[in-house]
Amino acid sequence: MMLTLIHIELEKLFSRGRSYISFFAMLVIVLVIQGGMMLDGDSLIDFVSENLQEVFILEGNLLNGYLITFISINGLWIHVPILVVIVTGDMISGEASAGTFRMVLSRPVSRSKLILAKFITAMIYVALLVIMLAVLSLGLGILFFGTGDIIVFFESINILPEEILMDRFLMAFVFGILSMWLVGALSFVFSAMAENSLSPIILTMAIIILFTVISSFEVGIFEKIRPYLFTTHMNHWQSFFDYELDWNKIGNSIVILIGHIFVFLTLTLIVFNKKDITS
Amino acid sequence: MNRFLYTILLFLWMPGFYGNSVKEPDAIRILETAKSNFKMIIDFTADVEIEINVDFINIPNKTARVIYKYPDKLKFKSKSFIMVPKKGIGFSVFELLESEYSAIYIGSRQIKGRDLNEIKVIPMDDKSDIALATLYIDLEDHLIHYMEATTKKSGFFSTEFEYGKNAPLPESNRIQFDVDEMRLPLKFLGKVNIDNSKIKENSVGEIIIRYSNYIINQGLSDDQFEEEELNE
Amino acid sequence: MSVLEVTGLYKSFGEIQAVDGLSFKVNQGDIYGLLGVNGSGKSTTIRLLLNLIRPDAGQIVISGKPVNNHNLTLRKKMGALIERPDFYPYLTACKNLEIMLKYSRVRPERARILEVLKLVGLEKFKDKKVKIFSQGMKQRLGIAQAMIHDPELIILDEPANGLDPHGMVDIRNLLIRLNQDYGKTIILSSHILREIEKIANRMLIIHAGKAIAEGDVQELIQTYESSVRMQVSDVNKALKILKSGGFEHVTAKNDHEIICHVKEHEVPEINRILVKNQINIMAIVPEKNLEDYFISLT
Repeated sequence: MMLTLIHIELEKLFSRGRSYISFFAMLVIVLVIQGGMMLDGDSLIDFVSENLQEVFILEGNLLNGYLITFISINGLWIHVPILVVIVTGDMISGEASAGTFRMVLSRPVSRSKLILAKFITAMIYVALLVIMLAVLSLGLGILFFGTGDIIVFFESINILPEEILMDRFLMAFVFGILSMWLVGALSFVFSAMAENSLSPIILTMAIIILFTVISSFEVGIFEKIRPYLFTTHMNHWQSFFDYELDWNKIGNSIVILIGHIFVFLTLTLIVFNKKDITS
Repeated sequence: MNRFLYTILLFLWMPGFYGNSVKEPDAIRILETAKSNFKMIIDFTADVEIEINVDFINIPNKTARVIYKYPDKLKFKSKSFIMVPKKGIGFSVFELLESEYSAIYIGSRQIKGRDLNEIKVIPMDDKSDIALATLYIDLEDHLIHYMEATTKKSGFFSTEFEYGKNAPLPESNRIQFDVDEMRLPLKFLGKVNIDNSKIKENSVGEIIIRYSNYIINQGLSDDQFEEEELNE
Repeated sequence: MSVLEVTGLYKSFGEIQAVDGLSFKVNQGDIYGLLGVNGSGKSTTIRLLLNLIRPDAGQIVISGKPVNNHNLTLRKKMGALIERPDFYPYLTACKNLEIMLKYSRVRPERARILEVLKLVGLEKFKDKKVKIFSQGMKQRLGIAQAMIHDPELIILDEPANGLDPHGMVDIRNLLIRLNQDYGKTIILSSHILREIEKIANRMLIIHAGKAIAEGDVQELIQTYESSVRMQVSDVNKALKILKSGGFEHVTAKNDHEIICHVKEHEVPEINRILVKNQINIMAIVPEKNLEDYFISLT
C-alpha cells in the first residue's frame, strides 16, 4: 500500500503545473548567474584577487565552472529553500483547503501512511530540485567556463585543486539535499497545522531567515545559541571546501540534520493523526 | 746590515702591519663577475614545482612551466591555479644588477658550511622597489647563494638558492617574505573567518620553487612574455 | 441485522455542542435518512461515522466492529460523499476515480470507471479535467466516487445539492436501484424533506445535535401527527379561536386556508369549534407529509 500511496502522490505532484515552477525558476537563476559571469566575471576575479595580486603572480583559469558553481550555491541560501517550501508547504494544507482529505481519509488509508507517503514524495521532489541545481550549475558552468582550481575563503585561503573538486561538489550537493529535506520537513509541520497554503510557507521561511541572521552574529549570547540552530548546521556544506575535510564536524552536522528531520516528521504525524478533518 | 733590512722588509710584507694593508675584495667586481657568469643564459624554459608554506593559505604543491629572458622577463604558465611571489624569484637580482647601483663589501661569512661574501647593494634608480639588498656570493663558483632585501612596498624578503648540475641556474629557490602586511580580500567566496592570530606580527611565509628540465637559449621572443588574462 | 450502531455520541467544537448524545441504528438494506436543518449536526455525524473527526464520547460500530484508526478495512466497505465534493481539479474525471480506487485498495479497471461514470451521466466528460465541471457535474462525480469501489454502505451528505430536477430524479432512481437491485445500505442526509420522504424507509430527525425522532418514515408520520387543510371564511378569527382552544400547531397557509397539525381524532373537534364560532368551513382536505411534520417538530 505504501508504494501505491507514494505513486499516487507523485502522480498528483507532477500533474500540477505549479510543481514545475521551481524547476523553471532554478533554470532561470542559474542562467542569470552564468550570464552575469560571462559578462563581468573577470571583474569579480580581479576584485577578489586584488590584494593577493599585490604580493603574488597569479596564473591559471580561476574563472571556471567550479568557482561559479561555488559562488552560485553560496549565494542561494534563501532562494533554494523558498523554491522547496512553496511545494512542500502546500502538500498537506493544500489538500485540507481543497477539501480532498474528506474523500481520501474516508477510504481505508492510514493517516500515518498518507503523511509518510507525502513526505517521501516531498523528499523526492526536493532531491530532484537540488540535483537539477547541481547538474545545471556544474554542467553549464563547465561547458561555458571550463574547469580549474577554486579559491575559497573558509577559515583560511584554500586553493582546492581541480582533481578533487567534482567529488567535493558531489558531497556538498548530497549534504545540500539533506539540508533541504530539513526545510521541507519543517514546512510539513506547519502544513499539517494549517488549512491554507500560505501560512506554512511564510512561517517556515521566517524561521529560516531568523535563525540564519542569529547564526551570523558571532557575539555574546548569539555565539552560545549558534551551535543549536539547525541553520548553522545546514551551512556546513561549506565544510566540503575546507582544505582537509573535518569528518567529525561534517558527521556531527549530518546527525543533527537527520535528527531534526526525524523530530519534524514525528511532530507532523502526531499533529495530523490528532487533527479533526473539518474542511 | 743586510739582515736588518731583510727583517724590515719582512715586516712590511706581513699582513696587518699596515692595519688594512691587504686590499679588500672589490664589491662591484664580485657582483659583475656573478652577473657575467649568469649572462651566458640568454633565455630558458623549465618545469617548476611550487610549494607554498603560509599559515593561512592552503594550497597543494603545484607544477608549472617557467620561461625567462635575461634580465627581467619572467613568466609562469599553468592551466591550474598557481601563486608565485612577485619578489624574490631568483632571477630578479639580475634586474637589480643591470640598473645603476652602489655596492659595499661587508665581509666574509660562513653559512651552512660555505664561505660567502656579504655585499650590500643600494639601487640608485628611484623606480626600483628594492631599498636595500644584501647578497651572499661564493667566490669559488661566482654564484649568489643568498639574497635579502627590503622593499619599499612589500616589506622584507629573503631568497636562498641551491645549485646543481645546471649552475648558474638554480635547482631550487626558497623565498621567505612578510605576510602581516598582506591584506585579505573581502568576504565573497565563502566564510571569511580567518583566525587573525594566525597572521601574527612579523610572521613570515615561505615558498619553495624547484626547477627541472631546463632548456636553455632557445631564442625566446618577447611576445611570449606578454600579459594574458588571468582567466584564459 | 444492523450495519451501523451509534450509541451516545457526543462532539463539541469549543462551546458549540455539535452532536449531543446521538444514538441510532441502521439495518442492512435500509435507505436511512438523516433529516435536519443546516447546522443541525448531520455533517458532523457523518464525519464521525467516517472517523474524520473523533468523538468526545460514544461508540460507533459498523458490521460489529468499532470505528477507530485501527479498523481501516471497515472503510473499504463504506463509500461517502461529504458536503460539497472536491476533487483534484488538475486531473480528469477518470483519473480522479482511478486514484480513489487505489486509495480504496481496489485494482483500478477502466471498465468499472466507465460503468460508474455512465450510471451518474458523466460518460462524455470522462477525459475532461474536473476544473471545468459545473457544481452539478461535480456532485454526480462525487456520487460516483462514493460507489466506485462497490461498498456495502454508502453515505451521502446532501446528494442533491446543485442538481437540477432531472438530476435529482436520476440520482434518486440510482439510489433506489442500488438499494433494491444490489442490496446496498444507504444513509443520506438532507434538509430537502421531499428527498427523504420519497426515498428513505427509515429516518432520524436531528436538531441541535440531538435526536428528535427516529424510526420508520411512514410510522413516524402516522403515529405522531397528521395535518388537515381547511378552507375557512375568516382565517385570522379561525386561528385565534383554535389557539385559544389549545390547538397550538395551526398556521395560515394563505388568506383563505389554514393548516392544522393535529391528531386524526382531533379533526372533528376543530370542526365543531369553528362552526360554533360562526366560521364557515368550505373544505377539509387531509395532508400527511413529512415537511409539515418536520416544521412542527423543529
